[in-house]
Amino acid sequence: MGLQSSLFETQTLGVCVSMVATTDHHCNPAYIPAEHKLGFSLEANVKAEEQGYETTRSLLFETLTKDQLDSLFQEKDFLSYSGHLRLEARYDTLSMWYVPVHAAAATKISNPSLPELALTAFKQSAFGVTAAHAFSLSLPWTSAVLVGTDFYRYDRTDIHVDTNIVEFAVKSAEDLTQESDEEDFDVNIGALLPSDRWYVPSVGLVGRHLAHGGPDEDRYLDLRYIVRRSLTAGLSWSYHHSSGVYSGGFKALYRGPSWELDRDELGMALSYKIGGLQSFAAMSPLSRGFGFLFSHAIYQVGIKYASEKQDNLLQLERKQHVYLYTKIFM
Amino acid sequence: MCTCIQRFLCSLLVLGSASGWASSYDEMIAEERHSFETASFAEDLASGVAALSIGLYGYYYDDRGVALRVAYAATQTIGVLLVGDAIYKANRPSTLLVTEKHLSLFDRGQGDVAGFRRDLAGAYRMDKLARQKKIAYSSAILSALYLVNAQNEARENTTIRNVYRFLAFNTALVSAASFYSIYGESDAKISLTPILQSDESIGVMASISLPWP
Repeated sequence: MGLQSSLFETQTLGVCVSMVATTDHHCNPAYIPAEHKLGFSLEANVKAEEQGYETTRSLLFETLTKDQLDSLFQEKDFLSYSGHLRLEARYDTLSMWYVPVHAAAATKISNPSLPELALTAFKQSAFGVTAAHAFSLSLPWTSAVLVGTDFYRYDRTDIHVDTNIVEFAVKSAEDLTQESDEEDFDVNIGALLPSDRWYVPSVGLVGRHLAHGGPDEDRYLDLRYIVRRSLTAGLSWSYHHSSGVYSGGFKALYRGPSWELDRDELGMALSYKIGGLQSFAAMSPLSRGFGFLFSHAIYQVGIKYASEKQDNLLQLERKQHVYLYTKIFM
Repeated sequence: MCTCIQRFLCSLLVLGSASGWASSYDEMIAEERHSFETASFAEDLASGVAALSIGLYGYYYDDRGVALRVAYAATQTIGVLLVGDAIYKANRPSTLLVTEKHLSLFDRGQGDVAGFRRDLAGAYRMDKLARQKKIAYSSAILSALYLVNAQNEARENTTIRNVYRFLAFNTALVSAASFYSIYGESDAKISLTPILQSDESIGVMASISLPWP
């Protein structure tokens, strides 16, 4: 159905919810892949930064100690990390999935005269079901509209530290750390109107975290935007030629109680695919990047090089990051 | 006419030169016969059982961390997949030998087009059945393995336990569906029974009853 060019997937190498310092492009639950109707898949996506990985691991899987906080004061002025692992069992248009770990963390040191440390970490596991259905439609450029939904239960832990060097000297690690756990259900809904003709765009809409979008907390450093209620709209064009498949498109994201347009999340992407190799470039106000994705019958591997910053206040200069992606089908 | 069919099949299957097609065809038939006579599935079965044994032994006796246990679980999985291949090879028909049998009959002037079609359709059905048996049995073994692994994983490794449970549940589902498609037209029955485990959790017991072959 020409859906392989879906830019929701292209920009993030198929992983939808794990980017810390960039936009949170989500896959569309209405997307029904033409292949792999029955089978298992395991996919992993990590930001390849060892220092960030070590920091995140100690934040999420060990009790935070004074020594660890002390070492963070001596780290780089800004660190971020994200990682995501997903198992999926697909039965035609229904799939069951389990995300054992989706972790993200960021630390920021500011004010050199009186150093301040802001730290945030987020860990989530989720189990859900995705169901999609194709409704027949008789339009000249398409024969179906696809509608799908994710329904899942999540278990989420948030950790926050906001301190300065003076407060750090007099308080214990427990007093400096705010930790909260949350378990609940949530739902995503998507729709996709694919197009068979290159000059008519495919239209995608995705509403995410509709049941429990999470409050907009006013924190200096916050990762909760990843799980805030949002609506993403996308348009994409795809041109099939004997030399390959050329695609391009735009997306916009609306957030908050009044569904305001988030200008930092405006994005565009270009993609070229020939055989099992796909190259792509994507751009948004906070992130520019390009990458490659190699697809085989039983696996996919991808790499994305990105130049990005968290936002204009926290991180002025852009930093180079590498994301790695792998998926295995059984 | 028969020669034309043979030439056509050979050009499709062998992709050899025009001069060497006849000998290649004979070699191919001989190889296929040999693989059936020598029970070539035994090789896959032996490798699969070896991999499974190494995986099981390592999982339960090599206590050097979670990462290594996951690697041993992957070895168990590969072993079971190889056993699945052996099940397929033991049950698959040979379309090539069926074709050769009928071509020989045509050569002797005793060809029967309707019989040829019937045998080809039968071979196709048997091949499909062999694939379903492979999926059904290998998924059932995998499901049992993952369930036992989940039970043996330490309580604090919740993530790993949940991964095994997820895999066990889904492989059981795939296995049940495959068994149903194999025996569904006869007397097979699948039943789901809810079980109340405690005030907070509920489970489902799935059972499948199959006719004795």
